[in-house]
Amino acid sequence: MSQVLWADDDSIGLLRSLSRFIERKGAVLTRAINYDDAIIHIRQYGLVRADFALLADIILPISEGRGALSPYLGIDLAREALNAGATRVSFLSVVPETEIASDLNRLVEAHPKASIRYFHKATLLEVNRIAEIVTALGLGGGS
Amino acid sequence: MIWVIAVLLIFLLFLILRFVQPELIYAFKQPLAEVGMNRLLLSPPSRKASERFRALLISDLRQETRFVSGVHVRDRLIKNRELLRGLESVRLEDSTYPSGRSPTVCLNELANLLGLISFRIRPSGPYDESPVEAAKFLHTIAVCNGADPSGLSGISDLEIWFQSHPITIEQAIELIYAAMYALSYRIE
Repeated sequence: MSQVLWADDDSIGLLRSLSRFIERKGAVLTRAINYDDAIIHIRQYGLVRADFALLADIILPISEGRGALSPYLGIDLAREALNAGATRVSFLSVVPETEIASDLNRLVEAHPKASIRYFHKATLLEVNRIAEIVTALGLGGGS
Repeated sequence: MIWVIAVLLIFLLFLILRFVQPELIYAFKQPLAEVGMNRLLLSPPSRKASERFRALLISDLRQETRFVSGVHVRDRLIKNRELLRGLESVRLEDSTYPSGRSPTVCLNELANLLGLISFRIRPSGPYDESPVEAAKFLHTIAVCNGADPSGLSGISDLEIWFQSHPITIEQAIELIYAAMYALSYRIE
């Protein structure tokens, strides 16, 4: 069964319903609302050498009241996830792709076998966008 | 008649509470936004739904809050940065700022928080440090923006540089983030 870690403070708020599209494909979805929570899950996946996918926001708090000076923590999280065995990483964020292009390129170069995708949050309701995200997480197409 | 008076009194009480405790607005607004988002995500894609979705994504600005703590300020800085990026994406889409969606709404929340912090801060011995001159901050910004440090030896060089390279609102907001982040520890 596929495992997906969703690291975004909106995963239990505004975008909560997105989880239905992921779980409908049979994935075991785990939500993390900050970097520290997500790292705990990533280390657990790493220990059991689990194949998992990461869906992450770029702007993440480290924990409550921490992280205001680190605007791209999602990138660091993706690096940790890829090092722990994640094969698929998708970013879902309002940070424009151009702003993090060099970081994305470095991730792709360091992990050429992994699938690394970027989706802008504001385009989530465009035709087939959710299906694309689901597919990027390795869960097959369709909504 | 009694019912009408009762309803009016409740409404009046709500209005008073709303101004004394503006957090009430957000306590109602956020769950409503979540319900709206839920409906949009489950509805068929359309241009109207997409526009409504983008508006909801940037709906969590809190310009009237009265609650302030160091943790709250730092959490709001993270959210403010995210909302600012969201507003920027709306601008890129529409090429102009739609009403109520320019970066200045982020500035409004920051100004409100800064005001609240300033009310809480009291002078104390350990913080009696001499101010860092504005010119030093500007020098750093100019260098980050590509200026040659050797060409910025005096204040007049800085003045000339910023006349031709004025900073953006987004850069000004980052400066405010920095100040508020550091100040937030003064109210803990």
